[in-house]
Amino acid sequence: MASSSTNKFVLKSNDDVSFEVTEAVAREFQVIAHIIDDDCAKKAIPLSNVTGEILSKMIEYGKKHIEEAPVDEEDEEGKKKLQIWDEEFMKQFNMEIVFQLILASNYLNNKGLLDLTCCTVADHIKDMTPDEVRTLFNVKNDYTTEEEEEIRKENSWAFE
Amino acid sequence: MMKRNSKAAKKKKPKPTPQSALITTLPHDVLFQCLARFSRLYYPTLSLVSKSFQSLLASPELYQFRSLLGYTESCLYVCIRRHGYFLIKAPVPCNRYADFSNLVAVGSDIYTIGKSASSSRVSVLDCTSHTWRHGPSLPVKLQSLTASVIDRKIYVAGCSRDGDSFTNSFHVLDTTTQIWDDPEPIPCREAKETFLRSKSASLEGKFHVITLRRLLTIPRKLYMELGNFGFAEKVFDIMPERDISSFNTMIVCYAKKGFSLEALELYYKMVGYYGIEPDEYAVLGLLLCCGQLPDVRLGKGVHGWIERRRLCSSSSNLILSNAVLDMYFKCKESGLAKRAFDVMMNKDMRSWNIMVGGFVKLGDMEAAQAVFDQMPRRDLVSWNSLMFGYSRKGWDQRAVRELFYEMLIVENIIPDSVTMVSLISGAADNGELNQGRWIHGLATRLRLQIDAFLGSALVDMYCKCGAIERAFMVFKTVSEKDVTLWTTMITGFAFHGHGKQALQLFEEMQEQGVTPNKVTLLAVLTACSHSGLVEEGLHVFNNMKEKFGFEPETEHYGSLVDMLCRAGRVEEAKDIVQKKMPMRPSQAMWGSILSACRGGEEDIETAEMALTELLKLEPEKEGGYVLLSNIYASVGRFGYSDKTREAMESRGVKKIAGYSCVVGVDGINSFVATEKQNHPRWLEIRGILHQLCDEMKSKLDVLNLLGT
Repeated sequence: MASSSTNKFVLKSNDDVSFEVTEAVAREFQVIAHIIDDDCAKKAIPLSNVTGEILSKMIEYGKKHIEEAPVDEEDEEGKKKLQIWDEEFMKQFNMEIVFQLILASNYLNNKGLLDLTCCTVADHIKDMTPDEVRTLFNVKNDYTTEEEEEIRKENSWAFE
Repeated sequence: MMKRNSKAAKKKKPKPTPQSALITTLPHDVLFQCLARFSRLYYPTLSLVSKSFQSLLASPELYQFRSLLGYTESCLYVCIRRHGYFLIKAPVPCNRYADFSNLVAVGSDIYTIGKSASSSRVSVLDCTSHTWRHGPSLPVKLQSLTASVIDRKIYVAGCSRDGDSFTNSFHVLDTTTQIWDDPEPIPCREAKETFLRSKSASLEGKFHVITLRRLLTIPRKLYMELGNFGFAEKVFDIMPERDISSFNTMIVCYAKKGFSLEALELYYKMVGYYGIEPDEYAVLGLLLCCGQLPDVRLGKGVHGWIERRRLCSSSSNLILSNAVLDMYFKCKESGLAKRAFDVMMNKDMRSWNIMVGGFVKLGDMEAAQAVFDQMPRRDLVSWNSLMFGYSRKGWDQRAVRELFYEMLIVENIIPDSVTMVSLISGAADNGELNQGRWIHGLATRLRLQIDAFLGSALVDMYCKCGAIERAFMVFKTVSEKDVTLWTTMITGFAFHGHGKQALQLFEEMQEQGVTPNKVTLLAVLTACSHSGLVEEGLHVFNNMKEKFGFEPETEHYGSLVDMLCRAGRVEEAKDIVQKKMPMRPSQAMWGSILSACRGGEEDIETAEMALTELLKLEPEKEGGYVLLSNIYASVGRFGYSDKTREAMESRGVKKIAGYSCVVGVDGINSFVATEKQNHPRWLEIRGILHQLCDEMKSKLDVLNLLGT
């Protein structure tokens, strides 16, 4: 583990794009960390659920968080800086990318990125109407009119 | 090679792909991740998205996950009485049983402990999912309770009603086992009813109950005005020192609730036993009693007492004088009222209105009109009284209409629903559909809200005028239906022979949570009786006690007997009248049996018995004689038939002639049976009758009926 800063690993997306990352960055993703620990990372690590485009973004995020990691718990300024960067980072994506990022970070188990992406989604849809949310999440409205009315009545305070 | 690839990929800027509607549906757990990040304020909107969203949002897993993530939010739960201003937007579904004094929070649950004579229910609001669920019910129904929590146990101190008295008790709910600790009740040292409206608090592991004993002296009057009468009485009884004001409150309270004798007793006790000099308030209470009893002698005495004392200030004097007037009218002594009124120095609007209203109630419309004409000013109440009087007296409605226009146009007084109801009931009694419709239209144009009160009158009017469909239309448009409105509609259906609809409406009424009263049940029985739905009627009758909690009364039995008689089940009816009924049979029941006996020879015996009973009850009424005479005639025993009529005449009973009336161009025309030549336009009438007969001839031999 002493050479963790120099060790390099190769991550390979499902559309055959490879990325070489340092061990620290690789370990940002829990699943990869396990693979490394299990000594199965000799060759390129295939990530069958992630496209190259998404993977590149995730690595960018991971690198940034390794490089700019706050010195310690007290480092408010560092945290703040990183937070601002996170916000800027998320701004460049549309919802489809964000969703793919959520899926990927869930799959690779990166808590920070999962949190960030989920919050982005939450921020994005919090002021949407149920209909818009349905379109976005691609779910069907399976309420009958009466059922919908019932829920509206129950929560009438929210719909004024 | 790989390295190069990676660099190339890194440089690639993410192209913003056009947002497609068909984003791959997120797997359940990822959706979960997103939803956990929402503020709970958005949950109601999100719940509307789909059922799966709703169930996810209400799931306890989501709450746990949120706690794990540290996404907890502090929510303030506010119990708001009535629909007032909302202090905060609290994301809690409403529960109408909640009441601030019976809410306790244990962990993330808010317990609502049933506080009413009819409910021992306990509901629990799970704050993690914001859903209500049923908790273990209280072992007893508590009239009043207060609850606090110690160590995840809910302690309840409450008062249960036991007839007229209240009994204190403690109850403990262990929220971990969800069991009320009842097998070993906590001993309760306190005397009775001290836990009524008490408050509690848990401090340092102790459950404190603040009882009312300390508050006794302050809000005494409040209890009575709240209608908590039994309690006020008890408070009064244990009051250590009673002064004039507590006596007054009590006397007036008794009088207002109709317990006149109790009020008088208390008054005598106050004056005789305690030696307290009565003041004008006590006397006011006394006057109320005199009116209610009614006891004019006592009333005169009180009046004299007032006159002798010349009671203090003029304003209260006026109140007393008005009360005197009111009392005399209640005792039906309009002459004395008039005298008292004439000598009154000051008169206000109320005095005049009492006079008008009093005469109207006694049916003396001339006197009422005279007072009305003398009035310096007239307000809505005066007009309403007068209008009510004329409507009830069955006046020609067009005269009432003129009166109404005078009020509306000359005096510029806007009528209210009371005016309307008077007019409508007038129209209903005369069966004048056009008049009724005019008033209905007027009410609509005046933008009077058709509430249950006005709605009932309209439904009644349309029913009585035979426009049952219109009645039903009005009925449907009234949003807040009370038991009177339902009953009126059911009665309407009943008398139009729409038994099925009446029963259906009765079902609907119960589904909507309106409790039927005795009149409703009578209407339903009538409906069954008029439509021959005997089995249904019997079913309703047998369920009266169990399902609705009413002992059947004479009217209900009467309706039942009538129903059976109409269906020809005379024997059953006889059985009920003679054996099953707890009370004495009424005239109507014997009448029903008597009319049902028309059939054959074997009924004669029953009929004779029924008549004997009937005559014991009402020897002066002609109906029974006529019926029996008709029965004899129908079985060919004319000798008996004639004898019956003779007996009737010898006892001075005259058959009142039947009549019908028609509203024509020139007012109401009455046609009295066998009046014939006495009618001024008999010739014309006869001409038309003959014409009608000719038209009917092909089917019926009706000429005989005319007796020409």
